[in-house]
This record gives sequence, C-alpha cells and structure tokens, in this order.
Amino acid sequence: MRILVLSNLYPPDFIGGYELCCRQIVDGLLARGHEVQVLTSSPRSPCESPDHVWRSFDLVNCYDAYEVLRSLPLTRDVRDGKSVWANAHNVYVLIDALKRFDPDVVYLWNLFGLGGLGLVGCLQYLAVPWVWYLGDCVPLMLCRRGAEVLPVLAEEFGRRVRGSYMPVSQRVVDEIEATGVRLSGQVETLPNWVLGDTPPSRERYYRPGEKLRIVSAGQMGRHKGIHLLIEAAALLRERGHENFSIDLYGKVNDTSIADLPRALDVERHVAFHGLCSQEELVAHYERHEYDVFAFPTWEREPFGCAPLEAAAYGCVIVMTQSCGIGEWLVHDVHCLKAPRTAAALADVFAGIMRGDIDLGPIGRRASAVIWRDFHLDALMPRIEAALARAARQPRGPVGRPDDAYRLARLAEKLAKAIIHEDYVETQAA
Amino acid sequence: MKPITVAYLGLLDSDRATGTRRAEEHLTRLAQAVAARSGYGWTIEIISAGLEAATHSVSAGVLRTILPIVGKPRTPWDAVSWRLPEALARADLVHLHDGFSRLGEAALLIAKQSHQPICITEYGLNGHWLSSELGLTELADVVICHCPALAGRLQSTRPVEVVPAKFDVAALGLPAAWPSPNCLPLRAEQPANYDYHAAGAGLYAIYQRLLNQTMEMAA
Repeated sequence: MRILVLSNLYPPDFIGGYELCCRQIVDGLLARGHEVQVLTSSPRSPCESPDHVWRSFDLVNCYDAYEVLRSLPLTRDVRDGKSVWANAHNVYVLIDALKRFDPDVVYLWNLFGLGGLGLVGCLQYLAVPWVWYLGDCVPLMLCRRGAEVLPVLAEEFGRRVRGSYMPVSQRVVDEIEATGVRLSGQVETLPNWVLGDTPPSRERYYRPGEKLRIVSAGQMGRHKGIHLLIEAAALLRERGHENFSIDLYGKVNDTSIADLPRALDVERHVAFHGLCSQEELVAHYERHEYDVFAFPTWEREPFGCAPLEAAAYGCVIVMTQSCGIGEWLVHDVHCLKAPRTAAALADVFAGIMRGDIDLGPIGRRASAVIWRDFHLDALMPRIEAALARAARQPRGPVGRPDDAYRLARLAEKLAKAIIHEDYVETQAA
Repeated sequence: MKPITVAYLGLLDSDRATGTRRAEEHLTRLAQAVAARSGYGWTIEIISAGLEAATHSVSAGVLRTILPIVGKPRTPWDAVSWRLPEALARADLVHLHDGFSRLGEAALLIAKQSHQPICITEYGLNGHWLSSELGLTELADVVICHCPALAGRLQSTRPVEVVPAKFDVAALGLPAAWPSPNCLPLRAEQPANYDYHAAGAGLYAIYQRLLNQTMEMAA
C-alpha cells in the first residue's frame, strides 16, 4: 500500500509518546514493504530527515508555554483557531502531497497545531480514505474554542467526518463522545506496543531489605503526577523508610516540581536525570536497574507507552487506579493500581519494602503478556488490515483540489473574523 | 420522489441597514415564482440570521427562516449563526444571492464541503475583498447573471447561466466600506420591470438541471 502519514511532530522532533509511536509504526510499515511518506511540520530544532519524511507543515506551537503565556489574548485566540480549525497553508501542503504521492490511504496521527479540522475536512472533501490513530482525544481538541467544545463543531464533526478510528483505549472514545463529538465510522481499539526481541526472563526481583529502585519517565509535570511521587517519597521517609530511590527521566518545565525534592527534603532519594532517549531508557530496563515504574498519571491518560516498555522487562508498574493502560492490565496480576494520591503510592511502596507485595509473579506475568500480545509484530496485521479496509471503502463524491484549497482559505478567514469580533465584543464589555 | 428544498441566502442583511424590506420582498417574490413553477412541489427556504429566530410559512412553497445570530456582528453583513449547518442540511440546493455577507460565505463553506449543488448570483460588483480575493464564485456549480453582457465578461471556469432581467442590486442596498454599518446611497426605486415570473422559470430550469446532474453523479 501507499500510505501517507500526517503527524504534527516527527522524531527526532518530539514531545511525547504520540510521535514516537508514529515513527515506530512508520518504520514497521516500511519494513513490511509498504510505501510510506510522512508529512509533518518543520522541526523546532534543526534535525536530519530521511527521504520519506517531508517537513513542510506549519506548526502553530501551542505546546510552547513560553510563547503562549506571553501572548496577548487576541494573539493567543487567533493562534488557537489556526492550531485546531483551519490553516490554509497546511491544506495546500496536504493537497500537494496527495498529488505527488497519490496514496491509497492516509494515516492520521496527532493533528493538533496543524489546523487539523481543515486537514480532515480536506480529506473528506477529496474523498481520500483515512485511518486515525487516536493516542489522545484529538478530534475533541479540534472542536474546541479555548477550553470549551463548540456544539456546532461537535455536531458537524459527527455528521460529516467519517472514517476509521484506532483509539488506544476505550477511555479515549468515552472522553471524546462525552462532549458530544461523535466518532462516525469504524472504531477499533488497539493498544500501544513494545518493540525488540523477547529478552530472557528476569531472574531477580526486589527482595525486602534491598533498596527499592523506583523509576518514572515522560513529561515531568503535575498532570503526570510527578509531584505526588515526590510527596510519596517524603511520606515514606516520615514512616521511617530510607532505603529507596526515585529516578525521574524527562524534561522538567515546571519549576514548582523541580524544587519539590528540596522543599520536601528528599533530595537524596529523588533525582531528575533530564531527557533520555527511548533506547537509553530501554537499556536501563534491560539491565534490570529498576524494580518499579511509578505512573501516577492523571485519570484521563489515554494509554502510557513508558510504563509498558518498563513492564516488558519485569519492572512492575504502580499506576493510577483508572487510566488508559489500566484497561489492558489487571491489578495484582500484571501491575499494581492505587488511588492517585501520595499516601496511596507511599502505601504501595511501603508494602513492597515490607515484603507484603511480591513483585516477582506480577513482573513475570506482565512481561509474558506484553511480549505476546503487545508486541508491534502482533498488532501490525490489525493495523495493516484497517488501512487496507479503509483504502477499499467505496468513495463518495470527489471534490476538486483547487476548491479544497479555496475552502480552507475561506474557513481560515471566517474563523479569524469571528475570533476578532468576539475580542472586540469582550473588550467593549 | 423526495420533495426538493432550495435554500436562499444573501441580500437580506441589507434590509437591516436600509430599514426597508426591499431585499426580503425581492427574494420572496423570486422564491414564490420558483415554487409556482415547480407546481408547488418544491420548497424555497429563505434564510438569514437575526435577533428574533423563527421559521414561518410565507406562502405555498416558501418558508422564511431567521437563525439565531452569534455574538455582536460589527455590520449587518457580518451576521452569522451556529444553526446554519443544521438549516443547510435540509437543502438539496443552495442559492447565494450575494457575495458580500458572512452568512453567505459560511453557507458556501458548509454546502461545498457537503457537495451540495450551489448557485451564486453574480452582479459584477467590485470591492468585496473576500469574494474577489478568494475567487469564491469558482466554488459555485453555476454562476447566475441577470445581465448577458456581464456573463460574457466573467472570467470564471464555472458554467455561467443567464436569467435575463433588468435588475439593479444597488436598489436593495450594498454595504459601504467595512466596518461601516451603512449602505452605499440607496437607489430610490425598486428594480423596475423585473419579471419575477420569467426569472422564476429560468431559475427553476437551472436548478432542475443542476439537481439532475448531481443525482447522475451520485449514481
């Protein structure tokens, strides 16, 4: 198949798991003999790109807290509109890529920041079939204005946008549809995955009396519960536990988190190691340098790739009771789940250190099930089948590319006019 | 056979600026002529956005719908409604009677995206930035002109059909330069000798051809 992949970012330019997963899938599809072309944004820092990656999209970087916080409200609103609704330049780039590459199917990833609604609208208009990997609630994000979902967009999305969705968990679908944004077409849940060869079974697990080595990786923010983990460390100390360490890998953009270990006097136990490549992290897990992967993330977490990778090597996940990856793994069988509080986390860690919880059986079961059911090789046939099915779907009326571009320009102008008008009204009020 | 609904948009915002009902009367009479020509099998729904949202029947085959306006538009021609997609979903064909109102532009976006057949009436006006900058008439399936000379001059790749009539759109009210909420000086007289019966017959024939083409393409 000829597959055109659309993603807001693409490694080595990445923020989180969404785009890392995208690269893994692209590499997997290429290895299986498909012709794949990636269309993504110009990188935020200079980087090399292979021939199959076109970095022509313009990303409205709504992840850039520095710029977002310092922008005037009107500038921010206009940027937000362009980020989610319509960016005519990106529609032009997409149309050009469709002409040059002539794909059988388009594989959509994270479209936030690209004027994603306009891109999807363009594909609908040109009757180009698509499959959308939902590693987060992207359709919902695209129907928002600020924090609010616009009912008219939600309704029209459900009515007009029809294709194949592959969400990573049911909670992604539930969160999207709870706001009135209906996913029309085929919806098939598919978890995230691990890569590589099945390693030899981990022989050695934590034993009481040893140092409990806790790790976490990802965005070092409050939404990921990193503050809870540091607070749990302080609680453990209060309860007389000193023989543990918490290693944290990822960028720390939140100063209130960066300062927390010092403020809670757990600097000797908690260490920030900064950004670490996926390969380096896996190497840590392979060497069994950690006993527990702490994942006290928010409950809306769509999935969680980092804990899955750790658990594949016998590092037991201690996770928020209810989150995306929790739909796929069973408490006390493949992982440990706890309420999302520092006290609950501390209870679990203390239970392990006392020997009340034996990590060995849990780690072995999780590792076995992950290498069997969550390996990309096991999931790839389902992805290929979904792409092939979409490519075979009978197509509706096909619009002209020139018209699609005109529509995008019209949409961008109308959106901007409405945002400006609201701003004038707000100022007047 | 499914009854046909044609949505009419445009011109009506000018009535708010002129304080007259000229545009409404013009579109109503045109709609009545089309409805009559269809043997009252078709419905023409005349749509605008305004403060008092309502739908009522004007006469056999003619509905008048006012959609709830969003926010506070700076000029009468900046009015738009979030209920527009829902209203257009009822239509088999959309006819935009001006190229300078935001409701018309939004309707063009929505209808084109759903592959609904679209007619745009072209009066040969200049100075309406969005229409001319984006070449919006290129999104029409049929461009309708009242003036044969204008039809000959139009540089459009779209089919141009002439419904001959002596018609002066300036008599209904044209927007002054944005953000003025006023019209350009209004011509004193309503369009003279406008033969609604003939215009309705001409439009009906165009609509029917367009609907047939759309059905053939869908099949």
